[in-house]
Amino acid sequence: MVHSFLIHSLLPGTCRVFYSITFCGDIKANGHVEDRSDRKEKLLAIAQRVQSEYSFKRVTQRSELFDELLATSAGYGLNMEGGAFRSLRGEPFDNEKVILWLGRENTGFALISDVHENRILAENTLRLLCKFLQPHIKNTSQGTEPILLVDHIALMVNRFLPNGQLLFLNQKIIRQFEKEMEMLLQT
Amino acid sequence: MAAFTNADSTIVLNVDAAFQKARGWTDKEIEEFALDLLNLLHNSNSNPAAAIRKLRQLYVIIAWTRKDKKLPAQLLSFLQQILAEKSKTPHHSVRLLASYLLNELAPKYWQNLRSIQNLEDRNTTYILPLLLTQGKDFGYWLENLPHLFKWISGQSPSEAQLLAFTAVTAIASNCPSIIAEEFVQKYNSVLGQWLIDNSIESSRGRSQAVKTNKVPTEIDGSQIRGNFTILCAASSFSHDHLRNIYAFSVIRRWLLTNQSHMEKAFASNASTPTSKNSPTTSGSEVTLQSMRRLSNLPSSSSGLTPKKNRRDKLMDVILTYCSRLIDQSELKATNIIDTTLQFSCLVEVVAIMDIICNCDPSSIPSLFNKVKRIYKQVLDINKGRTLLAVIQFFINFGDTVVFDTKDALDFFFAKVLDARFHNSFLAFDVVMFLLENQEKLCVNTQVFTLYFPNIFKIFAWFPRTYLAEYIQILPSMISPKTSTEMLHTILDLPCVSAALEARHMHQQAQSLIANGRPLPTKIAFDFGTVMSPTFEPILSFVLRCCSGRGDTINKLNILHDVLKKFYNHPRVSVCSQCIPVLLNVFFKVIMEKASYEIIRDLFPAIIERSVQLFQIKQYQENVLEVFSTQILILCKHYPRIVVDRQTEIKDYISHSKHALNNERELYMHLIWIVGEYSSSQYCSKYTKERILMYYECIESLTYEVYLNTAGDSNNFSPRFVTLLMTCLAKLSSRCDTIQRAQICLMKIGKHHSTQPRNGNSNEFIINRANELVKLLQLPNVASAVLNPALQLENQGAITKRTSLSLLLQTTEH
Repeated sequence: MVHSFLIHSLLPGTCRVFYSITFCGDIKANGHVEDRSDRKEKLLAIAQRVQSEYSFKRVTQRSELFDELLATSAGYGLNMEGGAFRSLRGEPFDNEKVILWLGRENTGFALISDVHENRILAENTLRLLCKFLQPHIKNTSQGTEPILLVDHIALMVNRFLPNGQLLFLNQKIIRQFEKEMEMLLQT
Repeated sequence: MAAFTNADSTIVLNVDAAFQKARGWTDKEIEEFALDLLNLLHNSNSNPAAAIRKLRQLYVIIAWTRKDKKLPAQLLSFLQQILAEKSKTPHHSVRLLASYLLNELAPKYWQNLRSIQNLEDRNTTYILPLLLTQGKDFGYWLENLPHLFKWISGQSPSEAQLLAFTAVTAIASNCPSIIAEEFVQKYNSVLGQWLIDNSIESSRGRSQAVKTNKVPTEIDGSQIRGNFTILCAASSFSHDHLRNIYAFSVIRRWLLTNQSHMEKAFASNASTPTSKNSPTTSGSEVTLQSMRRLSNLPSSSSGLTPKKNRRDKLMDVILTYCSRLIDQSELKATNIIDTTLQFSCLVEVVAIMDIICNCDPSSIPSLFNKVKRIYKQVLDINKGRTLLAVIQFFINFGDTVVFDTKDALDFFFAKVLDARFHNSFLAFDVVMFLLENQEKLCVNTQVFTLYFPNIFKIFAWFPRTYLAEYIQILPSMISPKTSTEMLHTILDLPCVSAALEARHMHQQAQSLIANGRPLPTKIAFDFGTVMSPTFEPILSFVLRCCSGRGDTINKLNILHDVLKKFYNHPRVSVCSQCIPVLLNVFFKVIMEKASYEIIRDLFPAIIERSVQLFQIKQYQENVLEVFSTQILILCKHYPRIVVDRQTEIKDYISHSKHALNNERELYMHLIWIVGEYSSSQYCSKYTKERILMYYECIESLTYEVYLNTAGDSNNFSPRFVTLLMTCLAKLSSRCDTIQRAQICLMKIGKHHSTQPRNGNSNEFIINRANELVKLLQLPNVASAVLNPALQLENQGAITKRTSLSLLLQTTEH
């Protein structure tokens, strides 16, 4: 089960969460559903940690050689940095969680899931989401437009991560979904 | 190096401005805006574009802040209305936006949306997510479960059905106790049904409408060999197919959630169903613990009469599906997405089999064979993550079938890890694997103690990410035979980082050349020398896979020199910052668990390395600080070291230059240790001859320092000089060389009184010298003062030590 999905800024500075969705209301120790501001705070904490991981990656893994290599390769999310880490129980969620992330320039995509999850599947779903969401989030994260195309993002998240469920999708079915979404977006 | 540019800061500024603007709306402005929007929505059926724009803007105002913003009630109720609207208008974007807006304000109680009983199919997309985020608090879940199940149990597949299915799965996962037994059974039967797809027959049935290319194929395009599964392709997928995909996708989670139900069902032949302890008594401990943690099923769901037939049927269906998937994953997919899907599929299958084996130990042998088949398929460097999942299964159940996991572990930790440690996702999987199986691996295998050099490569490459995790697994990597090697390895981790970085750059350069691209003219870190053949033997030791090849190399200084160019590479410097933490963990374990022999062998290494550390200033300082603290602890616990390691300590002490360099603190601590613990009360073998050897060493050192300061350089700190003098006095009182000591001390005292006043330092030295001389004139007192008796724990009486002040008073004339 995926707990949440968020899109946030990556460049150094205050971390901004552009979009977030928590699929199921978290239940606190006292049995009540978590407050909105608590939820936001926890997601921000995760986003900040991704931001710091990304910054380390960018400074260490990229080099003059890498940039040259980048110019020759195209492809399936190859120009994205990515990684995974875990958050311990209580920091900030009640249970231990695993965070998978991908990012590029100022857009970071983070998937927060449980520890016993199929991580290869989660990573692939994340890559799919990045690929399809990138054109729709670009303007917001680059700061060129102070707007968020929430409905477009929502459409894709609902398709690939319906109520937080990871799906085993092969290429043909992804294409079919892609066409369906394109048609919807055009209306 | 790619740095953060001016363009980047413009972006950040713009984004910040957008956020400030969104947060800057006052309550009144928001209210006006909302009412405007409401008007627009009432009239927007023909042209929704303006409404959509305004909705998006409102979303940003509400979402981009932690504070709760108020929206007028009329707008809120209208939004709720839109969601449940039965007609085709409004536009789906408007509905989506309404749903998201309401969701953003969650958790909140919405009377209108509370029950989904009469919900239209098409509106499920908008309302079910809201249902989930309200939680069970307001009774949404309990009340709506029957309706959700109505959808799920329907015969004809639809989008709504799929969404309801995922909603139920989410609820079950989050709060298993809320799903009553009858619903569990219904879910099981639906699951079983959807996994056995009927669509091939059904599509063949609709003969005229269906063209032949609508029949699904295998993933490589060949003719389909059995039922439809997730690894089947089709030119167009119907909802039937989607059901199949969704069903498989939830199996693992569902089985985990209902594990204790299932266990009771399988154990039905054995003890009473009301036994509340079954989760802890059956299956392997580790996985059960972790699974129990996930499923907060109260163990008191008692009195279950297992519906054996239905449950068995579901298990059979699942296992048949899994077998088919194993067959299908041997086919060659045509693109990378499908290939990765095959891997994730295998991982899932192994996980499902793991759960089943946990619940039903009798199925272990047959399932083990299936997993062995997968193992043969993934024994490859490029399939590391899948291989790791298989190894996990072997570790959990290998004992039951007497299978030796050694080969698999060796292959993975020697070969796969070395080649792929820099893949972030594989590295994460490995670290989690080591953490989750720490105890088992420690007790039953040699993975930690044999392969720690390789395991450390992950840390050297990702120092920031995994510090907490490595603090946890480090204790398992320390073994009696490899303690000294471990110390060297930890100290040299920054070198490992640098060497890995050089190797990586070298590979990138080769890649460029192979692609016919020119190398960039300016490269910040020169990796050429590191990769040259002359350096190869040293490099191969630093980047070795296994332990046991030797503690360290002789030519550490060469290593450090060649890698010096990397010392301000970010990865290397972050790694070096983490070393003191790891060292402290190392020493803690050593103190708690190691025998004296190990510590005695470790000691020279500490002294040796204090002058052979990689040249990062902060790193050297921090490590030396750890060293100087730790030797105090070690020697306090084992004072015999002073005797057993006399040669090494003497060698080290006799070089006064140590007092001037970074390692001065450590040096001074050693001198203090010599003075403090050189006594037969700590070690019976400590004869006067031996003490005399130390005495002579210290005496000549003192004279050297005296001569040195007789010249012009006054670099030795007064603290050092006084320490030296005190040590001299202590030793002399134990080996009958009091007079010699007195002469020496008087010389120093005299010398310093002729020196020009240098603040307080000279006075300090003069005072101390005089004090010691006077003390030594009374040998008995000196002996009592300078050789404090070993304090015994239970001695409540006042000892000689505590009357120190009294004793000292006798020396004052």
